[in-house]
Amino acid sequence: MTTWTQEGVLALAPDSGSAKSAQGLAAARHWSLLGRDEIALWGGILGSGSKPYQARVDLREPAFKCSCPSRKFPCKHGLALLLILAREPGAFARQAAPDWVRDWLTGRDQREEKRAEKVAAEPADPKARERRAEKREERIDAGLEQLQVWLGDLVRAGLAKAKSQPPAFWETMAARLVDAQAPGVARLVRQLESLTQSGVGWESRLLHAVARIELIRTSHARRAALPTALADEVATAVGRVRTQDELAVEPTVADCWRVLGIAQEFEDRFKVRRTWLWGSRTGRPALLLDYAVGTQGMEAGPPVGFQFDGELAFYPGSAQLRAVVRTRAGLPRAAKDTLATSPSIADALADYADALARTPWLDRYPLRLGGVRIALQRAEEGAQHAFMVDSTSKRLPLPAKYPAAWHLLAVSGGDAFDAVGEWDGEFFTPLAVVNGAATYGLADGSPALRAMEAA
Amino acid sequence: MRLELGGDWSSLVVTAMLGCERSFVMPALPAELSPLADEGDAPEQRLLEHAALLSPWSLAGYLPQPGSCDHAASAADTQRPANSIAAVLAPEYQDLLPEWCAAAARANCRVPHHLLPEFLDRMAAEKSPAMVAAMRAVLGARGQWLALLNPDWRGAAPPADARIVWEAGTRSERIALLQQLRANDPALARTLIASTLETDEPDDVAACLAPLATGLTPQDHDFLEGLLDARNKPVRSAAARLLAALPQSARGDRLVQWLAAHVRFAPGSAGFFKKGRGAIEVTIADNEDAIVAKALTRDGIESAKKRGKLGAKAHTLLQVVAGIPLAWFATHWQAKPAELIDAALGGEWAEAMLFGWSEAAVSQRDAEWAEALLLTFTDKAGAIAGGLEGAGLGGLLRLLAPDARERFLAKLLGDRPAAIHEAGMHQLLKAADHAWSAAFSRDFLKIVRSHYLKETSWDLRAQMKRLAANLSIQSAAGIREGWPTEAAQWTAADNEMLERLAATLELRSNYLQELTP
Repeated sequence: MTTWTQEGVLALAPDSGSAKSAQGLAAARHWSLLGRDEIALWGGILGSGSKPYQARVDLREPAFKCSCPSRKFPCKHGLALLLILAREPGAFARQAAPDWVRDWLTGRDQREEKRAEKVAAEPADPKARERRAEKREERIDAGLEQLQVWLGDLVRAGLAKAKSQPPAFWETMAARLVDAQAPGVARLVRQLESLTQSGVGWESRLLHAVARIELIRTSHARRAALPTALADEVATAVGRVRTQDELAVEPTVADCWRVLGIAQEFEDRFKVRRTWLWGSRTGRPALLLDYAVGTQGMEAGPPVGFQFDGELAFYPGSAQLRAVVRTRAGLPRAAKDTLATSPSIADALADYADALARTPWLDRYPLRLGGVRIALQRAEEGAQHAFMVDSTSKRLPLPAKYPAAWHLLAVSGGDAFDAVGEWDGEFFTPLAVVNGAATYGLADGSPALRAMEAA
Repeated sequence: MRLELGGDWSSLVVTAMLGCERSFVMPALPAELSPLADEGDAPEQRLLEHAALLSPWSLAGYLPQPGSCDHAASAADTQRPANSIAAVLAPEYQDLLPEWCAAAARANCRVPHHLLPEFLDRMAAEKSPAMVAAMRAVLGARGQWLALLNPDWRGAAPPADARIVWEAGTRSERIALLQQLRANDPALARTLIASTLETDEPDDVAACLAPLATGLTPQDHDFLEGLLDARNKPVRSAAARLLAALPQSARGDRLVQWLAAHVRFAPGSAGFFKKGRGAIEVTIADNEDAIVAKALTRDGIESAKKRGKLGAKAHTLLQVVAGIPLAWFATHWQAKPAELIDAALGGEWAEAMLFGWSEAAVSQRDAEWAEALLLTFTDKAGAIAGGLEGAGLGGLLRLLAPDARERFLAKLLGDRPAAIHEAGMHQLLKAADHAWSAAFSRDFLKIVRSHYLKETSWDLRAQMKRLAANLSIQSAAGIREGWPTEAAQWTAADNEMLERLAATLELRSNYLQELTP
C-alpha cells in the first residue's frame, strides 16, 4: 500500500493553481461523500453545477476521473481526494464501490486487456507493411537531401546571419521534413530558431545543434553500414514512430524503478514531460517521454521520489534510454533505499561521455551528483551565476535563469547535498534533491523544498 | 583522452559564424578524428562534417572547471520554523504580514528556509523601517546568512559597521542605517549626521534628519537648535519639526512668548447649572515687527505664506500653536483641552487653533488632546475636519490606546451607523490598525451587516477585505451568517468579499495557533 504524502500528491498537479485549489478542498467537511476500497477512492462534492461532482481515483496508477467540467488533468477534486487520504485517511468510509466507480474501473481494466491482446496478436500482412516502409524510406531520403543543401547554405552564409532570419526560414524547412516523414529532425530544425535567441553563448549552442542534425543526417545516409542498434537509434532520431506492437517484441527489463526527476517544458504547441527513472538493481537510467497538446492534461505518473516494481521496454537502439512501462506490479511507493550517486562531477561526466559514445547526438543525460554544494560567483556585470561544486572543488554551471537556485541555497544553507538533474553539455539543471532515501522533485518548487527542509 | 573545451571547437564556431564563403581557415581536426573525415567535399560540407565530429568529441571531453564555495555554511537556527508564512506571502494577504511577524517573534519562530527567497524579496520591497525591523526579527540565522549573499537583499542583512555605511552609502542606505541606529544607539545617529554636515548636500541633510523622530530625546535638543541657524530652508524646517515634538525646548519657549503677546484666553464663568463659554482672543497686527518676523523665520515658521483657506496671519498662528508643548496650555491657561477647543470654536481663529493643536498632538503623541480633538472634529467642527493635513483624523486616532480607539469608534458608529459608507470613517478604521477586541469586532460586524447594502457598497467591500486583518478571530464563528445575501443588490463581488473575509479569519486563527509561544 502506498503511503501518500502531501508532497507526493501535489507533485501530480498539472500546475500550481490546481495544487492550490486542491489544498483548499482537501478537508472532509467540503465533501458530501467520501468512500474507498482496496483499489479506489471516490467522493462527491458540490461545485457550481446543480448535482455534486463525482470524483474517483484508481490508486493503482494513480488514474483520475471526475464529472466536473475542468480541463485540467488531474482536476483539483481528484487531487483533493488523494490529499485527504494523506492527511486524514480515516475520513473515507470503507464500502463497496458504487456503480459509477465500478463501471469506470471495469472500463479501464477492459481497455488495458484489449491493449495487451492487440500487442499479442500477430501483425497483419507483413508484405503491405514492408511496402509502406520502403515508401517511407524514399520520402525520408528525399527530405534529408533537401536538408543537406539547406544546412550547406546555412553555414556558407554564416551562422551570424541566421540570427536575423525570419521565422519562416526555419519553419519552411521544418515543414518539409514533417512532410518527408522525418518529424524528429523537423523538431531539431525548429529548435534552431530559439537557440539563436538563447543569450550569451548562443553561437556555440547553435553549432552544436547543427552538428547534431548533420550527424543524424549522415548517419541516416550510411544506415546500411551501421550496426543494427545504431541504425535503430538513427531511425528513432529521424522520427520513426515506434508502435506499441513494435515495442512489444523488445525484451523487457525488470527492476525496481525509482523516479529520479521530472522535467516539463513547452515546445511549440506541445507540453513535453521527461520522467527520468533509475533501476535500483540494474543501475541504469531510463527516460519516459509524454506529450500533451496545448492545455490538455497528461496522465499522471508516479511522482519524484517514488518507485515501482515493473518491466520497462526500451526503444530499440544504441542509447537504451527511452522506454515505456510494460507492466507494473503493485502500487508506486515512496523510495526507501539510498540512491547511488556519482562520487564526483568528473565520474558523473564519464557516464555521460559513455552515453555520447553510444549515441553522439544525445542532447541531455541524467546525472546523480553526490555531495555537491551550491556556489555563487559574481559575474562582472553584477548578476550572480550559480554552480554546483563537488568535494574535489570542480564545478558545473546552473542555467543562468534557473529559478530555484536561491531556494536550494536557502534550504541547504551552504552544506553539501545530493542532486539529480539533466546535463546538456553546457548547464546542469537540478530536477530533484536527495536526502538519504528521500528524493524531492524541484519541478513544482516549494513542496519539495519544504520536505527537504523538514528532513 | 580528453580535449580542453574551447580550443578547436571555439575556432570552428568562429568559422561557422563568419560562414565559409568568407572564411577559409578551417581548423584542423584532432589526430584521432581526422581518419573519420572525408575531406573531399565542398567547403560547407567539410565545415558541417567537422562540426558533426567535433561537437560530441568536445562535449564528451568536457572538463569541469575548478571552483570553490566562497561562502561559509550558515550557522544553525535556534528558532522554530513556522510554515504558515507561505499563505501570508500571497499578495491578497499582505495586510496580515505585520501580525504574523509579531506573533512569530513572540513565539520564537522564524520563516522556514524554503520560503526565505520570497520573504526576502518582499522585505527588499518594504518601505516602512518598522516593518523591515519586524521582518528581520523572524529571518533566523539562515535568513540573515542568505541575505548577505544577494545584493538585492542587502537591506535585510544585519547592519554592517555604521561608519562605513555612512561614508559609502547612498541617501536611502543612510536613512535605513539611521532608522536602525535610532532604536539602539540614538547618539551615534546624531553624531554621524553632524560629522558630514558641512560637506553634504542640504537636501540630503534634511532627508537624514527625519529618522531622528524615532527615539527623540532632550539630548537631541542642542543639536537641533543649532540647525535652526542653517542657511538652507529644508534643513531648518526639518529641525523645527523635530523640536516641536520635544516636551521642552528653547524654540517652544520662544513660541510661547509670541503666543502670550498675541493670544489671550478668557476662561468661561463657572456657574452651577450652566458653564459659560471661554473665549480666545487673537491680535495680530497687519505689519508684524521685522525682528519678530525674522525670529519666527529662524524657528521655521513661514509668516507670509497662506495655507488653504487660511490667510498668512492664521497660518502663522497655526504654526506657532503646533510648536508649543501642549502641557503649557494646561498649566498657563488652566483649562482642559475640551474647554480650550470650545473657546476656540467660539472665535474667528477656530481653524488655526484647532489645526495647530492637532499637529501638536500628533508630533507630541498626546492622547488626551487627540481624543478631545477627535470628538470635536466628528461633531461640532465636522465642517472643517477636511482641512486637516497629514493623516487627518486617522493620525489623531492612532494616538489613542486600543480601548479608547474602540470606544470612540463604537460611539461614532452607534450614533450614526450610515457613516460606515463614508470615506472619513474608512480613514479612521484604517488607523485603528490594532487587534480589535471581540466585543468591538462583534458590534462593528453587526452594523456592517445591517447597513451593507444601504448604499453602493464597492468602497466598503474593499474596506472589509482589509479590515479582516484587524477583526478578532473570534468573529470567525458564523461570519457567513446575517448578511443580506438574498437581496437583489447582493452581487458576486459581495460573495467574494464574504469568502475573503471568512478565509482571512480562518487563515489568521490557523497561524495564531501555530505561533502560540
